[in-house]
Amino acid sequence: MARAGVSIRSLALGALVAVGAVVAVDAVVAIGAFGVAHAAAVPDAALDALRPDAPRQNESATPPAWATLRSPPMAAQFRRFLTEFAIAAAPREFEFPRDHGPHPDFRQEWWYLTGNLTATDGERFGFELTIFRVALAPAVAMPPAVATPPATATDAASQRVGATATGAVSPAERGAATPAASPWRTRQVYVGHFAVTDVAKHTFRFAQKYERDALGLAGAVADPFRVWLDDWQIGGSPHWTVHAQQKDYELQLDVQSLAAPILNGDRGLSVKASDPGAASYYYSIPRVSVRGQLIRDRVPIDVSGVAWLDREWGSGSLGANESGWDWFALQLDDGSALMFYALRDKDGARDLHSAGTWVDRDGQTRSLSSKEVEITVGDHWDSPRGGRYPSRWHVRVPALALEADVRPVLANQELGTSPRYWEGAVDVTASRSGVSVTGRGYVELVGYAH
Amino acid sequence: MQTLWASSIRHLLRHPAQLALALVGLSVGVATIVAVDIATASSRHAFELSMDAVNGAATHQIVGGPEGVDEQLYVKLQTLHIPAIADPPAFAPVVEGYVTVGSRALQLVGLDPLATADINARTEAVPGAAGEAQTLAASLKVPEADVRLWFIRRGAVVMSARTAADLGLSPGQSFDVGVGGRTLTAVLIATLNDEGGGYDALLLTDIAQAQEWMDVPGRLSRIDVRVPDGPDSARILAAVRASLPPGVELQETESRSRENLDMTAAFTTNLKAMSLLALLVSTLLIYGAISFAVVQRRRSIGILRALGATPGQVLAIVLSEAFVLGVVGAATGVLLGLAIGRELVHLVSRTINDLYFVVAVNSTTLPAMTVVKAVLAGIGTAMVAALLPAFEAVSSTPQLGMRRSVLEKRAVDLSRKLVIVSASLALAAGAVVFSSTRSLFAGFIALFMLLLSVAALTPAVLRSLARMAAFALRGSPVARLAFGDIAASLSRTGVAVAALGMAIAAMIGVSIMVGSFRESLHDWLQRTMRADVYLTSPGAGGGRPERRLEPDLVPSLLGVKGIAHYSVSRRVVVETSKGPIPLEAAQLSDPSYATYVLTEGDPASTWSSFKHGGIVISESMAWRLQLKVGGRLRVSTSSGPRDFPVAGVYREYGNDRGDMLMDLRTYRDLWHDDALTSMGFYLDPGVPSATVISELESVSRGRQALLIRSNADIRELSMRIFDRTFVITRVLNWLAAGVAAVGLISSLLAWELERSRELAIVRSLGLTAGGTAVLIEMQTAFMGLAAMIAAVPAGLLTALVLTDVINRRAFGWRIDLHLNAAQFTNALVLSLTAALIAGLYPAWRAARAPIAVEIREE
Repeated sequence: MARAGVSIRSLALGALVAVGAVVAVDAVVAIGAFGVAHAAAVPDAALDALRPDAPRQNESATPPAWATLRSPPMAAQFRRFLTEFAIAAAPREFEFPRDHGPHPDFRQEWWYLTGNLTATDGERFGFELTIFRVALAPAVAMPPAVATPPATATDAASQRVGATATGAVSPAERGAATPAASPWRTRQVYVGHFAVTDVAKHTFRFAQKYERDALGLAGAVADPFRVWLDDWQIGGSPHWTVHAQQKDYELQLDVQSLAAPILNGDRGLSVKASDPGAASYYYSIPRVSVRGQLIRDRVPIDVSGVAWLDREWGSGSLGANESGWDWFALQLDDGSALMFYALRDKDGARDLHSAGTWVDRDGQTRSLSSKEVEITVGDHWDSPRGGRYPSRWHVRVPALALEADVRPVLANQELGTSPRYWEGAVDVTASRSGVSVTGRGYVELVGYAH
Repeated sequence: MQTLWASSIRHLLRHPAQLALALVGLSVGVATIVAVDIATASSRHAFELSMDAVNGAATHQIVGGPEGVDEQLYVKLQTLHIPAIADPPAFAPVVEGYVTVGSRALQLVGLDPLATADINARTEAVPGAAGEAQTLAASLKVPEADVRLWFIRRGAVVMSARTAADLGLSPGQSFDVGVGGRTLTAVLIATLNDEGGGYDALLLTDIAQAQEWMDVPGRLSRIDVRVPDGPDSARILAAVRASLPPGVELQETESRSRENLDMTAAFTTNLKAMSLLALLVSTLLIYGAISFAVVQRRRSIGILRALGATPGQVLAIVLSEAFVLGVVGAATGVLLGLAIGRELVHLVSRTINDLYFVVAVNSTTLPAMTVVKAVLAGIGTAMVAALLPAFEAVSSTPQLGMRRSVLEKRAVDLSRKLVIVSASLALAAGAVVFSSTRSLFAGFIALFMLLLSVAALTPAVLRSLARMAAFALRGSPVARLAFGDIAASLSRTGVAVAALGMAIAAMIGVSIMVGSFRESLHDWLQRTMRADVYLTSPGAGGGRPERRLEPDLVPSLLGVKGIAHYSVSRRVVVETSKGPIPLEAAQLSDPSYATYVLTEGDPASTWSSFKHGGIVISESMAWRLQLKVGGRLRVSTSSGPRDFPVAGVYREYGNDRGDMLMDLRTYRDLWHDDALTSMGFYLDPGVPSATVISELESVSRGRQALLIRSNADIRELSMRIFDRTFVITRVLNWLAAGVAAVGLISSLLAWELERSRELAIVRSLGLTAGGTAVLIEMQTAFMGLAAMIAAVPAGLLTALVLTDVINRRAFGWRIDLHLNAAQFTNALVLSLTAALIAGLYPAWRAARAPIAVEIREE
């Protein structure tokens, strides 16, 4: 803190950041270690939010959603509260652009864009722009107003337990019912992470923003696709653009072309553990060609490159025994790409639910099981904030005759958000069936910060 | 030299009572300064912490008119793109208001924690956000998961652990919150362990909740802004300003908080002046004590000088004594001040809560500067007081020094000279008043000069009175002896009586001022509160804005039977070119115009201009902003800035910040705000207020809780607040008088001790023990009376300075002087009581002492 009055200021800050931090914890690690435990910790008091007086604004003719919840005893209500979110339990039919949009019935969701950029003079950059959506409570806690249903409202494939209400992430969810309800009321919160890796300056810079899904401050729509948080955004029309700004770095990119989305796991159902609900729907766009400007300290630099978009949503988390993961998204210069996530158990061993997808240059995909991918760590990096991360890898996929050496372009690409994780640009030197090929990519390391 | 020290120490030890009294006087004087400082500094500190807690890292604020700022402006700013800047600004919306929990007023702060986190820690440049989040999770005595209740639980609030404990609440508990007359249900989801106390007057909730509770859909109280330091800040500010609609302004946070704090400036200056008065009185006291100590040793000093002690050595001894006295007195004074200060804090913070803003003072602050100041004042006072007697002891030739008569002759000469000093001081005080027109400081200087002038005059008055009394009562030897003695011992009696006289003058002045103020307020209330029944939607009291009346309730209220006619008004706070000012937009019924006492502008032209867009401003506002009829004031309206002509100035004691009155139509045209906050009803003849009040209550029941009062009730309530405000003044006044009484006791004691031989001789000549006691009591009572006589005219002058100079300059109020006998009889009783009590011990002692022993001492 810049000022001397640390105690008071930090408390003030603490008071306010904590709420955001909890949201962030949910967002980033709901998929991670605390997920299930966290959800189970939702206290009885949360049930009070379901009380009839809470959603009194709904005076429409149809019985309000909570009405159906009034009869069961408290314990049942409590379980119901937890299971009110939709769960990724079975493969579903993906449809675009519908599924680019939000899936508010699920607890969390993200749009994860990472990319490597080259300036006209050859200078090298990496960027990450991620927008998370987190539902603080299932839709039933705040009954939706009667309004246009979002594209996802009739999501037949997702199995919902005790579903009584459809969630809506759009402004339709709020307001409307009575004039007294504040438009700031929402159960959806968006979190944004924006990081820039500036190789020449040996600088890694990140920023984190929060916003509630209210007043159009943050949100997502399917068609034309757009997800935004204040002035940070991915998508838009007539073509997608990418915009984000933090201290000293502003990114403004036009999306030139998009590869076809690929479905990871079992037709897009990515199972993270054997625990029920520990799964998500997961697709990627392995190649997003971008061109635009990176404005560094007020000086615009023309850049172009290739990014990767990961899309995932679900309500569960990792298995109780899992502690984190290493995620690789490698784009080889011959047009092929490899995505693999290695889940780690608490004892440090690779979890068998680890999996990946191989995309060949024609866009054909092949699922990779844990057994098919060997990864050896070549080096480590100790974070000044605490924790030791692997820092160099050798990846072998015998079934594809693929050997790849993966090196971070900068050792420190850790985001000091809460929680902390490492997400960084990497260089790849590989050989495919004996033919050498170079590439670039992004690696994400979660669960190492202690 | 050693002999000198030994003599000094032995002397002090032989007169412990005298030493103790001098110390008590000094300690009380120092303690008063410390106590007042503690009380004001603690309140100020609490306020600053609270502002800090509310403002966080914001550098600027965007504020609008009475209805605040449109929330869409926030949306616009959040997505505002300023090209080519290194670091973007951060914004956070705030909805504020006042609520009551039980009997306690709290400031409701509605936040979007997501945005507030952003304003405090957007980038890595502000590290540690994550760590602080954990700190919070620990300090919020709840599991982390509960924090999400902030968003999803209706009525979720957070308050400091201390406030929760005061209110008997624990996390998870539901409780009632009074918001503008409605009772709503809140749930304490967590408490903050805040050591500093900045949150003690706050109730934190989500912005959505605050909008719903305050019933301000779509509006924000303000938008906090953090503009990063650096070369871009001017461009960022320009870009932000360019996005603001008319009537909305960007201001620096610091200056806004300072404005709030400035409100109390006049109030705290008054307190400090009172504490200085106590020190001034104690200066005289110490002067008395030390000069006695010196005088009593004239003989021994004379002998020592004759034996070869240099003047420098004697001076060093006397000043060293004073120094030691000063150190000890200052040290005990600081400790005593701490104790008094703790009590005074409650009085001061209560006054601030009544009059200015909500502040919760839970810890006392002792500024280091206060201790330094107090110690310096204590030592300095003792040294200065000792200087004169020390020089006197040194400057007399050794042989002369042994003789009392020389000293007394000098005292008489001095008292004559002091009359001239007194006259010059009084003239100078007048000159200061007339040459400075606005300076409050100059006002206080004049006040102190006046008081010193009283002190300087008193010895001469005492002497003449005593001589006159001795002459008038020449038939009675005892009386002649008693009064002649006073006149002859001016060096002893003069100073003590001067100190008492000064304290009494101050007391008369202050009580006349308070009494006049009270009378003026009473008259003003009588004249202003003409309507029979008043109705308002309650705010949190004091000068804080009221909430609006529920719009659909208004016609039903106006439709109540028995109402002949009514006035309605909307009270808001508007931004002017000279800071925020409360505005009352009123639609006056015909008899209402007469309730305003115009001190400037004639009624006909004032009210006609008022109806055509002019404003009528209160005296304090006219004074503070230096506005006159015909002047103009720029006010930010919802239709952009407008210049309003000042049509008149009216008397208003309700608010020392000033108030302005505008026609309701003018307000509605410019602010597009149809709400009302209060109504005044004139009843049909013969209809009792109580009937209408109960009718109004039944109409509003269940819809909005309103404050409905008869005019008599309001007058009584106002007077009660007034009396509460002046409790501190009275307390300080009594402290000063207490110091003076102690001084008188100590002087008399010294005097009686010194002339014990003379008294013994008188007794040996036939005066009984009882007669001796009566003699002494007569003398002290006479001195009390003399002090009183000297103090009365001075007290009147002091009162004039306090009402016409100090109060006017501090608050802009004009107060009519009201005198009543009680103000004088109180002072008389005080001075006589003090004098009689002071005489008790010496009388008892003198009557009881064996005559032979006293005479043999010679």
